[in-house]
Amino acid sequence: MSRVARAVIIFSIGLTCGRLVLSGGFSNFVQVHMRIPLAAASIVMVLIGGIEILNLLRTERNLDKVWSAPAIGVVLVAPLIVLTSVAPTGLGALAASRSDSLAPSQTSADYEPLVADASGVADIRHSDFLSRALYDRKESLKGRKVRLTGIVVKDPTIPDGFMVTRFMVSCCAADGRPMKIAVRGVDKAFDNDEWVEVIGVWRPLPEADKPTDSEPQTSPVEVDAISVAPMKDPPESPYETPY
Amino acid sequence: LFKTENRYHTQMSGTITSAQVQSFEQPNPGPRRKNRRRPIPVAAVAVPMVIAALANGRIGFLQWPNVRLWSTLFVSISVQAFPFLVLGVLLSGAIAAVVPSELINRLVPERPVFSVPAAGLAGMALPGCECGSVPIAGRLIRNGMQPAAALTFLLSAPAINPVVLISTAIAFPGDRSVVVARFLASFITAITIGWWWSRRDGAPLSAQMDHDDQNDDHHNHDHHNHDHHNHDHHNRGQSSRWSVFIDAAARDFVHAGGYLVVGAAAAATMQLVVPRSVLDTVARNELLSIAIMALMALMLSICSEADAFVAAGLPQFSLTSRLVFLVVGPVLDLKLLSMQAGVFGHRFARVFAPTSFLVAIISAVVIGKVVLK
Repeated sequence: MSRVARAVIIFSIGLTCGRLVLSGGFSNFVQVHMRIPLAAASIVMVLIGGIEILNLLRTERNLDKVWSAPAIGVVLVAPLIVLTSVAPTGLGALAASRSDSLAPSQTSADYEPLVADASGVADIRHSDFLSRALYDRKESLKGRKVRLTGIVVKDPTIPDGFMVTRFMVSCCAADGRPMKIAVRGVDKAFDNDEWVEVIGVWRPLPEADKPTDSEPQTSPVEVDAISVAPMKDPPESPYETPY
Repeated sequence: LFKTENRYHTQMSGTITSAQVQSFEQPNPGPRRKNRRRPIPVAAVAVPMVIAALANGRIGFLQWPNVRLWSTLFVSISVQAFPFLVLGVLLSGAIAAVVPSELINRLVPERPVFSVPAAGLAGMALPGCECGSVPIAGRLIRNGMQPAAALTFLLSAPAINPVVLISTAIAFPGDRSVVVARFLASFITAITIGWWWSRRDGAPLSAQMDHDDQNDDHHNHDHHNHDHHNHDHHNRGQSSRWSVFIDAAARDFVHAGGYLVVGAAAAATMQLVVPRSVLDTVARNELLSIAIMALMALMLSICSEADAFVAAGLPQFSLTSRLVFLVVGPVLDLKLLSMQAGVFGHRFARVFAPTSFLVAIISAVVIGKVVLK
């Protein structure tokens, strides 16, 4: 690969990553706390590529004559090409329907009571809701109004609603696992991948379906919908993290 | 047509304009160097990027759900790895520019009995994941470090550095034995491989590295580098050192980065082809789950700083099989395999990869049985 081609690749990757940071689009792919490392890496790449380009423009009359980098480097254009031509967004209904819902582990032996806002609704993360629904002996969810935000994932087993879904992402979107909560009794139609805010009440599992040590959860955790509203803007971080 | 132009300017204006300038200024690539491998001109880089920007959203099959999902997985593995890769190539560039090879030889004990465990412990000092340690190990070998010690460092750095151990502790709260077991099993794997390599004929590795040097360095900066350090009164001083740094960092970035992208594509493809639900149903059998977790570590190519969270999220698998996942991941996965083959050579990878894979599994199973409850 010619040296100027190498410099152009590094410079372009730097710009593209920088754009992802500035537009917030990076959170579709990696966690929000990667913002600063990614921004720093973008600046370094723009500087290294930029300095190389300027140096070569200044000192060489025929840029492509000077070459140094190994040929494999040319595949580095692939992520840039994919980003512009496919313009992928975050994980969605297709990824969610490819695997069963993640059953979070038991986070505590003794769950704190839910804290509700002025209107009597408690904001709750998917992982916390699922963990309480599966393991809380004191049933802190029972009869409480909760607010869940996530994307709509339609499911043939739920004719009167959908799965409100959020992904648990540990590192990057490639390890994302869906957390699905069945919303029952929805009278409006929603499209897959639409961001919604669901207010509802937990519907306890029948005793026979409760998970045990040897048998993990199989039937979905459910809520009875009180209201389902589409969201104008998706949350800053589309995913939940385990820490 | 106007609309198209407008759109692509807003989409990727900076990138494309710089690329376009380069490609239009250089219609004729000019005389080429006499070599089997022809250099890839800048147009080969710039033209596909321009076409992709123009095609944005216009090509039907690119919007198929599976293509979009593959793209999301592929881009996220790449984007997640870039910051760590940049950190790694900055360090490797700094090693090339300021650390004389004599110093490395003086610091590293001569006999592998000592140098290998020393290099293994030195791995604790590099916070990062495996993408960064491949270019660093390659650079250390080029600068004259014993391959056995450098390879020990390559295996230990991504597995036992503080960031990885802390994230493991967070992922398995209330169970410190997982952290201890991970540290022990990874460290034992690294030094076992190091000693094994020191007893082998290192020919395939060094042959490939020399070959790379001859082919890739038109202006052989590595030679400037050695000259520079041999004669400290060399008058090119700081600017030469700076250009060595930039050149080494840029070179290692496109080299390791290229293989990283190939590995990311392979990992994204595997994830799409093998559904997780299949894996979940095989988890019941202990031997089978050890095999499955080792293969998953190989295929998923998750960063070592985050693999503990993934392992914690698979409670249906036994603790020992999840330890196998944690020990194998930083040693070998699809993207590492691709990077190792690229940086150290295919012949090297054919021997090194399967051996380190097996040693990692055995060490994790043994340590798991001893340390884990």
